[in-house]
Amino acid sequence: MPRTSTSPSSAAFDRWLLGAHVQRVLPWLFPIVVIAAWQLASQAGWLSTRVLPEPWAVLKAFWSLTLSGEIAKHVAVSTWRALVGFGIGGGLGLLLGLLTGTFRAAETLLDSTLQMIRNIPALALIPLVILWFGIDEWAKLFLVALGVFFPIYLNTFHGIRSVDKGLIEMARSYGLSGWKLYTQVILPGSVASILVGVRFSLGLMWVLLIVAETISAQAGIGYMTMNAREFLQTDVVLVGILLYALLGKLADVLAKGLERWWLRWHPGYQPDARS
Amino acid sequence: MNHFDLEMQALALHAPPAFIPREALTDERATAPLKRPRGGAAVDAQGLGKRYGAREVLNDVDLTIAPGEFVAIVGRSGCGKSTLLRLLAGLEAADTGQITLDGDARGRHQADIRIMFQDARLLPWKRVLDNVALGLTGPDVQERAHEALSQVGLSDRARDWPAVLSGGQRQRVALARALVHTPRLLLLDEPLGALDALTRIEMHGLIERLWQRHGFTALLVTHDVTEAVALADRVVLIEDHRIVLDERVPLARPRARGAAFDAIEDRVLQRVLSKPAEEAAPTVQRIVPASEWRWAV
Repeated sequence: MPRTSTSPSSAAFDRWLLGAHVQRVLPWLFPIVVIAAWQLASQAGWLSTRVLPEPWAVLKAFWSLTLSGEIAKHVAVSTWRALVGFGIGGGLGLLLGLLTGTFRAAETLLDSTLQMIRNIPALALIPLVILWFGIDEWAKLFLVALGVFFPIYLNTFHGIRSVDKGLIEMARSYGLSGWKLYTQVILPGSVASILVGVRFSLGLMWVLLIVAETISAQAGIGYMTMNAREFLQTDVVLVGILLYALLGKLADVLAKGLERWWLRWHPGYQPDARS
Repeated sequence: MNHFDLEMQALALHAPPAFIPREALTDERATAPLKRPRGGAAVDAQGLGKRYGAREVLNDVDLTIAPGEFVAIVGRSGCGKSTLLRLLAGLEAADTGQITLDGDARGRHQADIRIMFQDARLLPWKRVLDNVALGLTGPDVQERAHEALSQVGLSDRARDWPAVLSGGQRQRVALARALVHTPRLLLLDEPLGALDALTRIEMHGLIERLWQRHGFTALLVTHDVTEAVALADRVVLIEDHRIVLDERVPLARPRARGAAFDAIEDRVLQRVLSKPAEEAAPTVQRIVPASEWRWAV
């Protein structure tokens, strides 16, 4: 698009817009404006509290739930479920991905079966899961584990398969084989792809947990929100939703941190290393 | 990904895959504890032949290299010169013929042979020093790697990632990685092909100095006749899958351009060009993936 305004003041504004501090604050501008508008709309009576409570009420609910220790209890239960489910499903995905990626026999034996199961939405299994596990803890863990399994499995498989053949050939001719070749060349070469799977799985993990917890639970963030719905406590429902958002963001930040550490050799993760 | 790649990958955990002859690896293990004599190895290849399916690459190639000699193989692209090097390196098995080092089967000397590839093939997730130390064992691994790195003038880059090095620096690291094993036969597969002219001249000097100092036998595959004449004791030309010219380069080192240099270069070049390029070389049409399309609008 052609620039229409080239006055010095607009150039100065552009420079200010590109400054480091401004760049850091700018992403928050939009959410802040939205929340302010929301607060005003609630206070003016345009928004019924039945539909949306005012932000201030949500904050107050958050605070009182924190003081009563309820948030800590529910977050602890939900986080435990998420982590255990992720550990089981992700661990199995990693293991099987390494297996099928490395051994052709394992791929022949397992891959088409796994691809078939992958096409069943995890949530479609809920009736079966309830029949199998009842409505207790194992049903929730199973759903989470099943959901996170496939992204990690697929990306591990793909990562192992796409390691540079030239590097493997070089390492062999330099005397590496077996376990050494695996840990020094094949595994590091597939970490980038595995981490993509991990980040994808972390997102799915919360989605599945939310659904699992709203089916039936005696504790957890999902239970808290469903319970609040019974009593029309929209502010508590919003607190629950916010908690999911925060936990999801936290998981993503952790995964990014892992990427930055494990892929620090990668040009894409080196902020200003140039020679 | 084609079937062959999958097969290779699937074999990754089992020690010897198709492209390294089985006896080569077992023999290396058997002889590993022996103290390696230093200096160059005598290479003798007799009647080497290799074909990929119906396509013939090498036919009845004989090549003898004296210990410590520097031989350059030149030829048009696709003439089979890289394949010859890969056979000597043990990266592929010959269909016919045999290769000996100092009179023994080639496989017994796997640890004496090191190869430098056209692309440096550094492991991007290892720092420069750890790349040089790849495959080394013993208590003084770090010192030996440092020593090799300083020989190529890069000791100050030991802690860097390969990604931040220039192309020439990467090849110098690859050279250090090869030299740290004190090879008796160093195979150079167009290692300077991707470098700019000035860096190449620098690398020529470096390779020549290190060759004189370590005394290994060197085999350089290149398409650059000037490079071959500048470095090699003998220039060998491969054409139509066989050796058609074996020219001595009796010039004093370090070599500078001059009448004698030019005469040899000219003779080899004339011989290369005397045969017109093959018209119907079976080139595979490259299919451009959608992500590489550019719309001209």
